[in-house]
Amino acid sequence: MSDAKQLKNAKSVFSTLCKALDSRNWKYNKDENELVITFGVSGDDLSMNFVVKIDADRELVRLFSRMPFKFPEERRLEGAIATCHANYLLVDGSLDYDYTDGECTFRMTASYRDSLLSPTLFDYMVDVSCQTVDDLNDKLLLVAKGVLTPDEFLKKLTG
Amino acid sequence: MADTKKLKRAQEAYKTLCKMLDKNGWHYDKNEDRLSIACSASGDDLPIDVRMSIDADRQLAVFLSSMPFTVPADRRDALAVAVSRANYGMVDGSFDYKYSEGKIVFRLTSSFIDSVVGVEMFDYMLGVSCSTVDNYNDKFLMIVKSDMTPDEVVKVIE
Repeated sequence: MSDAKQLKNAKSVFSTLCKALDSRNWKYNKDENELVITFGVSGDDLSMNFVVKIDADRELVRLFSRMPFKFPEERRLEGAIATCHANYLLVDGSLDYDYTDGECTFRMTASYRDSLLSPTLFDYMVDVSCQTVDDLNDKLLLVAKGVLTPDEFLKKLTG
Repeated sequence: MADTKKLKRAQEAYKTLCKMLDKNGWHYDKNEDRLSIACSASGDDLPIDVRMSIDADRQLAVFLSSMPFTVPADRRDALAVAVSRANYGMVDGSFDYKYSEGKIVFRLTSSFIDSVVGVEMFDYMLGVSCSTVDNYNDKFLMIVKSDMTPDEVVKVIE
């Protein structure tokens, strides 16, 4: 459970996050009690949904975007290999893949412990996440459907 | 190439990183041109490789730790499942697995774009990273040396 100071910091970070989104006129839903915002973005191929949470206990900004599909049982190993291929190429953020049910989620985190985060940092997190998810989601779907092998997926990423 | 303002901010971040390491009594090699440090830590089972750097262009603080073993070709699929499973429960950082070469590297990054980052942030990065690597490196090695199926691997990592 966060102490009063941690909670105050978290609320301040949440406020900076909201200001960053307001300044670019983004529509989003917010839960000021849970310090969570959610928003959707139209990508090149698939729609993308994002959740950003301010974790007061850990002093972290946590962004998630779940893929709108799952890897079926017969493609679970391919999903594991493909997500590993993608992660090795990423500079920031990573794909979390649940082998037991085929779910895949993009995750990005920033610590604000003992730090002062600017609105530009949130712009960066949102922009990089949107680009990364948009780049990966359609290709991952093709692996899930058996259209691409993990090797072919990797070739598409590396050009 | 980082512009002057970004470079200055990166150099400040690097100073703060070194301040944290000095404060905690770490012995490390410094490369001030590359804004990086390298050292190692003793884990419960395996040694932990520690490399931290400040990426001036991207304004990112980066922690990397390479596993001290390579995954042989016949165990590459099993480790893809193991790495995925380890990453799935993680709050911060991830294991990056180069399937073609059997290399596993733990990566944790934090952006400092236009921001001021303190000693405690780097302390957090180093502490969480070493703890996470220490938690999983021996499990990964055990899976490398075993003939566990993917379903068995999932149970070991959970």
